[in-house]
Amino acid sequence: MLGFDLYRPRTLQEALKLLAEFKGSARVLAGGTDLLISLRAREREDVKNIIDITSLRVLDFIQEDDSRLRLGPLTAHAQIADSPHIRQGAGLLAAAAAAIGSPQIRNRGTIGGNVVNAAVCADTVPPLVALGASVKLERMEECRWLPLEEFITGPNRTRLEADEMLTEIAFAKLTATAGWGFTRLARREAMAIARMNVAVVLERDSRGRVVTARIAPGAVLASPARIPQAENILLGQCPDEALIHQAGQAVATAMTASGSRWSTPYKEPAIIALTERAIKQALEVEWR
Amino acid sequence: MNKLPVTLIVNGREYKLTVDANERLLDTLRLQLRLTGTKEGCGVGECGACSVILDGQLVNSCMVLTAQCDGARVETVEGLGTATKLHPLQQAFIDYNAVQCGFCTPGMLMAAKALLDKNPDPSEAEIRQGLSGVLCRCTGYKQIADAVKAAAREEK
Amino acid sequence: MHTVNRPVRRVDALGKVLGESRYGADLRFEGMLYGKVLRTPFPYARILNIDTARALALPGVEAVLTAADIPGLHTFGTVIPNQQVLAKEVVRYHGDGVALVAAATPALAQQALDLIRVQYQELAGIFDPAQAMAEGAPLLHADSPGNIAAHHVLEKGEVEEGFARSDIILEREYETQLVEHAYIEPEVAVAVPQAGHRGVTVYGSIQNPFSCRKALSRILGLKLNEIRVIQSFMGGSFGGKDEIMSALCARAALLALKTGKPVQMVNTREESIREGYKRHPYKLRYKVGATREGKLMAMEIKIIADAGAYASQTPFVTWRSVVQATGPYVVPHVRTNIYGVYTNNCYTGAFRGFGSPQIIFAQESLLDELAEELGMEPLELRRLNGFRQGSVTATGQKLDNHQVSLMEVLDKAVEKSDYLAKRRQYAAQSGRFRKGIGLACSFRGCSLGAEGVDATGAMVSVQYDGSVYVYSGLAENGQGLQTIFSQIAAEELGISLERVRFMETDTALIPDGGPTVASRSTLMGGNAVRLAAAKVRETLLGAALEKLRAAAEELAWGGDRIWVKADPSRSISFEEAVNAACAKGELLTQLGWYKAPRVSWDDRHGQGDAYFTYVYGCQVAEVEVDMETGYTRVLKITAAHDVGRAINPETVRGQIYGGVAQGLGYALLEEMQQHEGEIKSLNFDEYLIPGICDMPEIEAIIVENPDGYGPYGAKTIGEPTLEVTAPAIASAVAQATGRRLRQLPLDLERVLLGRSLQKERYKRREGGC
Ligand SMILES: Cc1cc2nc3c(=O)[nH]c(=O)nc-3n(C[C@H](O)[C@H](O)[C@H](O)COP(=O)(O)OP(=O)(O)OC[C@H]3O[C@@H](n4cnc5c(N)ncnc54)[C@H](O)[C@@H]3O)c2cc1C
Ligand code: FES
Ligand code: FES
Repeated sequence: MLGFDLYRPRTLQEALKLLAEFKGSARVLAGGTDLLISLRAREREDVKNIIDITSLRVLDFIQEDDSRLRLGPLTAHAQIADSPHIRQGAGLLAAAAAAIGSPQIRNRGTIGGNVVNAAVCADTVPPLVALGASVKLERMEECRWLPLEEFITGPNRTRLEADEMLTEIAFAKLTATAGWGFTRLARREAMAIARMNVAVVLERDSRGRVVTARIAPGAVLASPARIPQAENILLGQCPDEALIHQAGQAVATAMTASGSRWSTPYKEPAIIALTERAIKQALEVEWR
Repeated sequence: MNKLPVTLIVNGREYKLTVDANERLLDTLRLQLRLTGTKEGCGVGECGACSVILDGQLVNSCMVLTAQCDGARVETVEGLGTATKLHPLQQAFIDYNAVQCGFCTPGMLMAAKALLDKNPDPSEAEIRQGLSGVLCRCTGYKQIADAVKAAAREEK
Repeated sequence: MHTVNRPVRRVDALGKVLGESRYGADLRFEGMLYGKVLRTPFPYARILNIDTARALALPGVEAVLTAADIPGLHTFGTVIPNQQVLAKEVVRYHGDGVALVAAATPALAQQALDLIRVQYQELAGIFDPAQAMAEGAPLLHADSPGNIAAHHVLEKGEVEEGFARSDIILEREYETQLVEHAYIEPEVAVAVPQAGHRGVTVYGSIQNPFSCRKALSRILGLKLNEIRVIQSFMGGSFGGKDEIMSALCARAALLALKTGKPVQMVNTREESIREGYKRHPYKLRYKVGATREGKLMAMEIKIIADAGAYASQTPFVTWRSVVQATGPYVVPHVRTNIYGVYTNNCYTGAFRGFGSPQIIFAQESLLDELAEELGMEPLELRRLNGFRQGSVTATGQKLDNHQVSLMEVLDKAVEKSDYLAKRRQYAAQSGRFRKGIGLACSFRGCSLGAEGVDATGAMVSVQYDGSVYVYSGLAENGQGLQTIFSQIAAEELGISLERVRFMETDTALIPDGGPTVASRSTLMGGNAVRLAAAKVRETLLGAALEKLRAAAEELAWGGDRIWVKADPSRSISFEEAVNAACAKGELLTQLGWYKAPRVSWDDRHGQGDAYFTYVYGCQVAEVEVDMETGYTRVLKITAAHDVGRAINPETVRGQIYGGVAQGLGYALLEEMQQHEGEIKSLNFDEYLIPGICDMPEIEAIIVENPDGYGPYGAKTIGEPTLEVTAPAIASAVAQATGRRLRQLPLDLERVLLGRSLQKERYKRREGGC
């Protein structure tokens, strides 16, 4: 493990002040399930100061108002998976959080860390994108909001400035009529990073026509985004098997258009299936 | 690298320690406190051999800095039971042949304890989920799952 | 029998559930230093210069050593001693060590490593065994022409004639992967200089204390009696803590002798995977001929095994392969050639199964393919050709000295799994999720066979209070040997298990009993314990006779008592018998020494009685395949194994479940990524082994046909349980998908696309999820 100085600020202000002082040489430590791994692998020689925020309880909350859900970045995956608010208002996020790693990792790992670490396979990111989440970034005396898709700019890259912290994640709750789906593919049952995942939110009118479609795949594009080409296929339609398949293909096409990798020949057919299944889940039709 | 003062309550006993900033809870337990029941198998959160219960939560002690734990309560395998008064899980692990090489055993026991603390009557699937963060290369897991089931019955 | 053949509790379980049992990394000695090794960044390179000055100057560093500091030889090895404890002139694989450091803390030791400067001249490595064998390929070891580490031949009958008389001939190629033992405990050694005289005591996760001692003697230039090797509790081994432990122990000992202080060396998981040997990847070419009715006529087999940089156990591993390559089937005409070939890849060696999982995957897949060509049910093909009492193996051995139970295990597994009905049911499926069922079987020679000298010892020592020590030359690796041996001693002495204390293996206390490999412990070591205990019993009997004034045949033993059969009120306790013997000055400590029955081998033709007895096993796998993602779930494994006699049925079941788990990993998940000699999957995030949620229901069927040679008829169970799982799963996947995969593992890509993408992964130098 690399050596560093560790700070345990008691208030958010104190933490932000430290960040401002240290400029680029400091990192925030939340659950540590990403950061400690890279420090152990001696990958982050530039990090000299670690600011442990785990005692900042003000960053650990799940709040619900009439229309929105607001999460503190320190909320652990296990809390998200178990929260009645989130299961009700953002079931796909609860499902994604429940699929992460192991009980140990879910107890420790936080949603803030998952988002800021910005791995292409991060499980909470596609649901958050499909929910239209925004992130609140704070620095001394200043704060800004960014849509999540804008915040994450590439694999492990974000718009977070050296003196900023993520302090809140917020999104509109799903309405009672909305359906959601979350599918995930990994090499084994538990404790396995997703090879790909897909989050889907659909709303239909009383005649069954899709009026809102949000489809966000993970580990498919370099940075998270919805796939409008796929969404448009469903919009205004009562999706049948063929249409759902077309939507899946549209996601695959978006993936291949963004570049080809060693895994593309596998991922292309597999993402079609994952997308179809997520859509069917959202439509509450049997997909097996 | 700075050093930090930390108070830990391990298995009910209070320790006042000074630790390096980058010292992992696992190292504090094993090297400073000589509680070597907690094992290290990977150092990256994958094997669960280092599992302990931290303020009621199951965690990998290789993924926690001790300095983050000031004032925390830690439960390790050493606090589970004694030779004359085994914890029901320990007894069940013996009775159900859930131990082979034994290297995963402390982690398995702590994972099982954390599970039963929250859910005293788990289904087979819940048991498997609860233990899914601990790898075992010897047993094929069956006798371990059986032991946890039996211990849950016993505790009721 | 009161202790044997019963599911008694493991004698080592209590300490383990309390967290009190001391594994190597838990040991600590006064003034102990921490050792680290610097490894080469290149798989093949000449060492031009090593500059250790800056490392030595670091405060807290007590020694920095290179090969130049080795007092004895810098190489070791069981068969061909060409493995380097520290590389001298040339590094031959990415795991080779070049320098050692001992320092006051692990962090300091790591810091010192960073300060060592090594100049290398990179050499063009060979990473493909076919290239290594090709004419004109540079030699990785000067004394091994063609880079051949081992070559075994087997010739039976007239192969050409066999094919000529066949109605159908099939040629197929199969491939198996590089696999990691993945014991959960990484390797540890602690070396402590002996006080008052020359020598060193070594503790650690040492699978084979005697081979370790031999290597140390060679490297340190010490006599065998100057080296004491004591095994700590082992966090798993599966064959994997042999040569790597000799190297680690030797390094720790070099540092300890140099500094005069105890030195502990603990591998990180990454170091363990990078340096440790693996299961051999095989490329297998099978040609089989059969009659229209399905009678096997001939097989011609050519196998190339990647030995990696050093010989290790390659000659023995490939020998087991040559003996068993045609499977448990009667094949009148056979020609097999197997080559173990040096490359600059990670070296390969002993791993549970020992050369059998590879060939069984090929041979069982081949039989399935043949059955399909013939339009036969695979089960029928096996019934038609499978070994029966008196059958003759490919090595010309007549199987008549033990119960040939292939048909019995086959029938039991088939019946319990409802194989035939399910096989029919799954024959025509459509849909996204498809099921399949398949079976595989094997025979396996017990113990070392004609591989080498096969003898072992044990000591049983009864104390005057009636408590008992058992010492063995074979070592507990987590498999339950302590319990088995304690049970046997208790059984033989007619006492309760609680009286028996098993002592950790210590080379100073017991004769060299060979390695704990080849599932030989119960059979060989068990016999030795039994012999030792029987001798003590003989002495006790003498004392009891006098006390009870009865003849030997009139007495009965058991439950800590000895009594007269006709009049149970005339009895004495075990303690009384012990006291009486002690009072007469009798010796109650005895050594048992068991030599394996004769085996024979003709190297030129690969003919002979290769092993003195065999076991048989059959597993049926049921799977469900996601046809759109390739994700395969195993639903159930039914495993029937003849163990001779189960000394402890619970331990046997544990071995079956554990073996199946490893077999499942071999089938579906595990493949060590290696690119141009560099291991890429260095930790459990990249190298995935089965977790608890991946394990299916396992039905274990213990078949008992007591063997004439084994203690109480017991044979072996450790390895057979793993070797048939992968082919059974492969067969089930083939039924589900309608496509036979000839490469392991059956990962997502192979199952969905029918081919692997992994090779492209590193060529394109891209990562990602
Ligand atoms: C064994 C294992 C299994 C895993 N499995 C999964 C999985 O299945 N799916 C998955 O998505 N991930 C997985 N992960 C990755 C990891 O657990 C998650 O990404 C987790 O959410 C990270 O959160 P953390 O609190 O531990 O982050 P940390 O490691 O503490 O931080 C990660 C990064 O975010 C920064 N950061 C954290 N919080 C803030 C903040 N509030 N403001 C600014 N910067 C911040 C840190 O500086 C650091 O750069 C796994 C990890 C391990 C070790
Ligand atoms: S050592 Fe902590 S999870 Fe493996
Ligand atoms: S008993 Fe050996 S790893 Fe679980």
